[in-house]
Amino acid sequence: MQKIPLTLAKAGMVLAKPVLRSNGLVLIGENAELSDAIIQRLIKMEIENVVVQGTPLDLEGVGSGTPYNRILERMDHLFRKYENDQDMALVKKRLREYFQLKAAAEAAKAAQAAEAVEAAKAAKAAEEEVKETAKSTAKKGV
Amino acid sequence: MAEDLKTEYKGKLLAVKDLPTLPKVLEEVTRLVEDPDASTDKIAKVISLDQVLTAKVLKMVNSPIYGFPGRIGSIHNALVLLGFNVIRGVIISTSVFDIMTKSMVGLWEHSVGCALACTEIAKAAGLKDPEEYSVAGLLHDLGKVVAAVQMPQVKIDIEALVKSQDLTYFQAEKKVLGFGHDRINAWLAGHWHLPVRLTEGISHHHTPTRAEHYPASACVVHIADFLVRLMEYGSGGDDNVPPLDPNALKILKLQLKDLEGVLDQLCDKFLEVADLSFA
Repeated sequence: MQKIPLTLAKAGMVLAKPVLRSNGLVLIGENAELSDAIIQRLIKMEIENVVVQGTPLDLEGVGSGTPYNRILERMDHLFRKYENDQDMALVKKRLREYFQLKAAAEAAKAAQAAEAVEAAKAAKAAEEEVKETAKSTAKKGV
Repeated sequence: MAEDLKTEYKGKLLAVKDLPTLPKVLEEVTRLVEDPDASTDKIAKVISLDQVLTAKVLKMVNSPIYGFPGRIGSIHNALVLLGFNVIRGVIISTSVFDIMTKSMVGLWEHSVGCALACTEIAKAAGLKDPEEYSVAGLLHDLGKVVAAVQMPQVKIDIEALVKSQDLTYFQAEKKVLGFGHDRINAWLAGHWHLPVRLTEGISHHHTPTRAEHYPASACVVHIADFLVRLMEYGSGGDDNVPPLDPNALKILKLQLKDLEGVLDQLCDKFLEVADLSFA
């Protein structure tokens, strides 16, 4: 069982816990298999995280360079006085999980944005090419 | 000897003539609030007489900390929207933080961050008037500022001790002075007749379960201090997170999970206030 940011969810993953709306309404029950359509719907509904079966993602070290990662790196140092404190160990563990999720989501978002830029570039290039060929065929026609 | 030292330091701290004096306006305003015949209009007029103070207060209440960025045009407006306790806190913070030396810029950032965090935590806990808690957050390290201004050598000693023995600022204060900034806060609050809720918020933020009348106020500041130190926004004087008392969460009926929502909000807001100051 692993909590992952929705941006990193893939079709075929199986939910280990139901996805709830903020008012507690169940959107999808547990054991349901995610599909691309479902993931898109969930993104539209502004769901951030889902809990899936198994541990499909290795979140350790993901998203280096994001502000969340800076906090993660500093955490051991900041908590150095509480090595034998159970309460603080729990707090640290939960916060670490939170920031790891955030860092992974941020990295996924950045990757998507980069992809979008690439795609836009490619589309523009393709468009120019079409124009070029149109010009050259027009010339040939003359 | 320890006891004598403590008394001597307390005397120095509270030496009235050197204390960062609060504007005369504040006394007048405090008196007016207790007067059943005084209207908000009258109070607003008294504050508006001091133009510099008015400008500073307006700048502060229009910052994202209080949730009305760029929408408050007059003191009267501010009083109606935020209430007297908040405005009083703002007046105190403007005059105290004015005297902060350049070396304490980190502490100012930490205080602003804490004020933001307090509002968010109070909202998450469903407390009434969340803006009032932000004042406690803004002033929670007041003792550090006043100690540094009244006794510059003490600040140097404390900082040296933090470095050489890897202590927290709070621990080092206790070693050098015999008491921490929480105690100084309590004295100052008494000296300036601050409202009890604010007093408890700033003097018990390291010992939230010991606040007698308003434990919620102390708990909110306690948790806010922890979160802001965790995110290392500004500097509280050392690089540790303060211990988070699980009872503070319990008193506010919050769970660790609820802090995630608070952190979400804080990550966005810290960008907005990155360069806020009174200057």
